[in-house]
Amino acid sequence: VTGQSSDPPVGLLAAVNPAPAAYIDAETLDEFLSMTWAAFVDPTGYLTPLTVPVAPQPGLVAELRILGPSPMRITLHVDHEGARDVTSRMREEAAGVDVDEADITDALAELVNILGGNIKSLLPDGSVLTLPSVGTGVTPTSVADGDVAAAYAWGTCVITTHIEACLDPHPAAPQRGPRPTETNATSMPPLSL
Amino acid sequence: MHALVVDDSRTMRRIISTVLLRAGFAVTEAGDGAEALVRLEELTVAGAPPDLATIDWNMPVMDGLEFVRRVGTDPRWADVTLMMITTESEQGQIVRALAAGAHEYVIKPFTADALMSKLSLLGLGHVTAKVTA
Repeated sequence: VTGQSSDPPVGLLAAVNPAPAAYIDAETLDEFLSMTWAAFVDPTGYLTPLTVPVAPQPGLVAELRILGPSPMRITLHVDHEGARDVTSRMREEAAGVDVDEADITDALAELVNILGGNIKSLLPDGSVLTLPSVGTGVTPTSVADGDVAAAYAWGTCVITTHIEACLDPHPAAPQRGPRPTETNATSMPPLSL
Repeated sequence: MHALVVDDSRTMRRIISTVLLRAGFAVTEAGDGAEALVRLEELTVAGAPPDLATIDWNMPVMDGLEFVRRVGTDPRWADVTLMMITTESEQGQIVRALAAGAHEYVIKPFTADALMSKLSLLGLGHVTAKVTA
């Protein structure tokens, strides 16, 4: 991991912990995200997997970590307009009813929370979810060895998800805190993988 | 019938509440276990304890498991059906929740139909709708 992240290089982490790919493959990740999407966002508009490289674009990044024996970070990136649409769908808002930033932050946080919970079920005992955070960032455009990632089209929106190894900062006492809100949402640097 | 929906995500509270309203419940919401205990006390004092509580597991302040423990051991709330609705899907976690007093366990993501089926099996729902929260 490069950029402004404080985590060590992925290669170093891989020497300590199994990489996410040791536990989950792209097909399973696709299944988890598709199930969540169909249940809460759009039961009829399926996510279409993208096989071509995704151009970097600004948007919102929902993130959580799974702490424990195999710590990893899970991110879900959605462009701003897509995030608004996703939120409206999840809340079943009537046409013309706008959603606010807190709604959007909460909706994306819940999506990555569900995705993280599904992924945790594949990990060793003792794995613990952190609460999610949401910030701004650009679409991740490359994936390190051992990471698991996928990109999808949903209408005109591009959705990407990425699982990478990370450090467990407090192995004995996982961080927990309040849900992200407009005032405490994490401001994340652009993802540079 | 009345339901208490406990989840720190307001989006998820809305999703669950929408299903319950369609099933005929009046709905009260809470954002964590501690707030849910307050709401539960208020409803009980008012003579209208909920028939159902849906509870997320991972929440700040007081998590869902602790809420279930407290409610499950209080005889005033012996008739409240406790349904965990959570991303925690490992068998060990399910066993912990049931041992703590949960009556039903639903793993996210769930569909509205699946939730309605659970309610039907529990003999809950399908009465006049009313919103109180």
